[in-house]
Amino acid sequence: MKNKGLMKGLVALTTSVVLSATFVSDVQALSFPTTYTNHKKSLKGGTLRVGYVSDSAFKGVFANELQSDSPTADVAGFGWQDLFKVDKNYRYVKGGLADVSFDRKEKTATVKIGKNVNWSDGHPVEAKDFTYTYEVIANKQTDSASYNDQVKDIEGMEEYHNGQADHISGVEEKDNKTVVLHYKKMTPDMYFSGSGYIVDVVEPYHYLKDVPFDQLASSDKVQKHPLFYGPWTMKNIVKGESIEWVPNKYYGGPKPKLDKITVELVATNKAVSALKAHKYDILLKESPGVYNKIKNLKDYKVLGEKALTYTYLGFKVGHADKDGNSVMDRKTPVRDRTLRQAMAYAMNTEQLDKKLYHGIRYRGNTLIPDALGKWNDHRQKGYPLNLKKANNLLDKAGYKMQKDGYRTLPDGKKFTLRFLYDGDALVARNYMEQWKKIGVKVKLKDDRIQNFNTFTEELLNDGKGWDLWMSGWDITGAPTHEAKSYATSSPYNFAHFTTKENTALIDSLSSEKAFDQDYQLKQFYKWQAYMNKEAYVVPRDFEYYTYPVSKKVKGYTLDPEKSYWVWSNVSLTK
Amino acid sequence: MWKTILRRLLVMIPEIILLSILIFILAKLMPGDPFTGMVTPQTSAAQIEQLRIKAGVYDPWYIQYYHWIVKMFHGDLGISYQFKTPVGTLIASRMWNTLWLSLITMILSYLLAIPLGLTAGRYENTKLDNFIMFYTFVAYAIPAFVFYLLGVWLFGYKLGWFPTSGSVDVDVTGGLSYLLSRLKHMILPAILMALISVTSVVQYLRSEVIDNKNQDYVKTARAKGVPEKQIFKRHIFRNSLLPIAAFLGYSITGLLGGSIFVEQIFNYPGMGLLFMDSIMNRDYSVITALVLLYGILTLIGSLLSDIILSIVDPRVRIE
Repeated sequence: MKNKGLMKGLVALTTSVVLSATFVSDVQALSFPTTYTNHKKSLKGGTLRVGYVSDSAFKGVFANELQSDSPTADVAGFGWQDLFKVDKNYRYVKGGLADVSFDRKEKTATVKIGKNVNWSDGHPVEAKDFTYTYEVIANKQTDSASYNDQVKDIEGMEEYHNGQADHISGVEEKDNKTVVLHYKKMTPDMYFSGSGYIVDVVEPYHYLKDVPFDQLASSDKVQKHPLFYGPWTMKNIVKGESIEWVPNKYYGGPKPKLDKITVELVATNKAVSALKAHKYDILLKESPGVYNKIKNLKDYKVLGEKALTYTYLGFKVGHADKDGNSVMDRKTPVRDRTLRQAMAYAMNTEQLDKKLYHGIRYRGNTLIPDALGKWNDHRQKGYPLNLKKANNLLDKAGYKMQKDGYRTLPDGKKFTLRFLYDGDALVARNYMEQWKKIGVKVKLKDDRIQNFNTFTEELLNDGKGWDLWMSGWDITGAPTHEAKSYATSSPYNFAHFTTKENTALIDSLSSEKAFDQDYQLKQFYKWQAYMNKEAYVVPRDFEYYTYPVSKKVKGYTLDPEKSYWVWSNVSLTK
Repeated sequence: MWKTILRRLLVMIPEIILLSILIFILAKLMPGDPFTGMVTPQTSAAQIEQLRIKAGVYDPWYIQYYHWIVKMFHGDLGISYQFKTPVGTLIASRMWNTLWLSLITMILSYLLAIPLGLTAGRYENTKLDNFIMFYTFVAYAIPAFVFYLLGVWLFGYKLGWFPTSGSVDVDVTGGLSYLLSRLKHMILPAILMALISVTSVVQYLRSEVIDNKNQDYVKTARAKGVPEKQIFKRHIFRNSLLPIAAFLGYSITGLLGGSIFVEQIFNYPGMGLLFMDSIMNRDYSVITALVLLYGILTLIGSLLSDIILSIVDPRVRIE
């Protein structure tokens, strides 16, 4: 299952690193292997001990459509295997537990479930499970947050959601193992995992059919005794703390090589000691602070994958009208592109990433993370630190430097920008210092760092009294999905910028012509270049997720092309 | 006395109602709501809004309060937005974890604090007293989380004597092995909490012993030739323990409070961690239920303390 992204409140670090103000030109982003090759002979069976770094308990709602809790999704990953295999660009390919094919003319997606794919009670995974999963998503009684615009594109979905139909007409069970999904329209997004059009994980209809929809999420069948069709099934669970996994003997893929996997939550401040004491064979969700302290442990190899996540600096230039469409009408100095570009050039993100995040975060070059492979335009430079260029831009545009070290607007008026931020005070202070160096006065909104909830409310409710903010998104493998966040009608276009060119470019990404991948890619590159040039939203950094893996582990990989059967292939050696 | 207890119990009813209104309003005043964290480009803003409307987030507070209180009188504390579990069930499951941990901590704490306090008071200004005082000052000054982390590092990882996470091993099922595993998981956090929480009791006892040593009844006993050992055992210690007994009511009800620090460091799913989680995620139904529970426990704790004191000290009467 793809990790559903929660808006990233930037993690406050307890470090007290003091940043030097000098430009560091030799900062190199780290690179990590995605696979550790262990040549030793595998032992028969054994227990893999997995630690999961988290400071809060996992909530334990083991129904993918009803949970919104990242730890639950991650600790359930041993049983919740995606039904479909993807390539390195997250595009569906054949060879998974199920395959999907598309018919643009008929506006259908056909899912064929492998004949040996079974639930952990031995019952086969069937077409009815697909239908049921869409019903769970759409039925108002389940309160599922997964009912989104992509799901609504299935014929009859809205009628079912509104109670006008007792089944979803667009989900057709052709036979026990084949489902045909009928769409109102086809888009290029559909071909990518995580786009939301096709569910990657299904629920067991035969097992859950007697549970009323309004009691599904709280039922014991979902929370205490869930079924899985992945390689592992839950034997024991201590709610919120740990899970013991044993092989699903009815699994449709390669038989797991281990006897058991235990996954246990470990608090962030204990993760280093736990690893040094060899308490775990693999540590998931390691933080940059942990990485820095264990990177040289001789018994572990640190693997890394580029994360589907990015952070950014945004400038608020408008507001949302009553229909939710962005209108670019705010009277604010950040309406001026030159000012935005100068501020972007003044950001010392590379330096900050090296000092604070030990290179695990690195400066982003566009608003499409390089984790999305070819969709990121590698030719784009983004905004590397260049104070000279920033000053030149402002000088030329008529922002005159005053004796107090701050510039005035081209019309001679003094100005102060307000910065909305909910992360580490050190990060905020660093960037405000950088902007001071080019004579731009920036103060925190309300002169303080906001808490996550206040911050999010300000963004969502079109708050007043701030000009710029920093935040981030966790994203999926569907790149156009990401770009659409910046459309005029998107509720997530917090900058509220809207231009004809942006609208045309975003529309072109999902147009009929965009089914041609070369055309779509070209348009994507144009959009990234356009966004960089306009700088309404400036990419800040990308990130690696790192995983310390004991050198006794064999067969573990993060490579998206090879990791589909990973939890079957993992074994232990001496 | 019974009349007074009954009167105190009756007075608690308006106090609890007032408390519930205050808690409810304060919870609603917090920025954000349980759905704030669900906002992503992959979710539909319209669907999140529908969920908000269905949950009554936009209803006036008194309407929401009315619904809540009516449900509560029917034994329904609502459903946790995060855990999708009835709040009563959720709290009950966490309550047992916290109760056992707190109980062991309290027993260890008193077992340690009483002899230390009495010894320090009896041997006032000796090396032993100075050593005990030094320990209490260090325990008071050291930040609890640092102490817990040091304990985990030393006894959990370096020496490997105790488990460092959770409340029980995942692979034990029922019976004696389950109980032993539970106990094993609680010992280290309980010892660490006990070691750091003895300060006030030790200091209080020491002062009481020193005060009592100079009381007239002690002088009289000495004048009558009662052996020094007997004076301390039968007179001074017994009287010095009275104020400690008065704390007992609060301690009993405090057992359910939980400790945020220790529960977070040990990933021990108790009341403290639940409270923290529910605040961070704006899980209103859990927040209001927990704060109300804490409020009620405090009121009961106060009453219990008065009752205990009146039982152990004949000079005190509840009127």
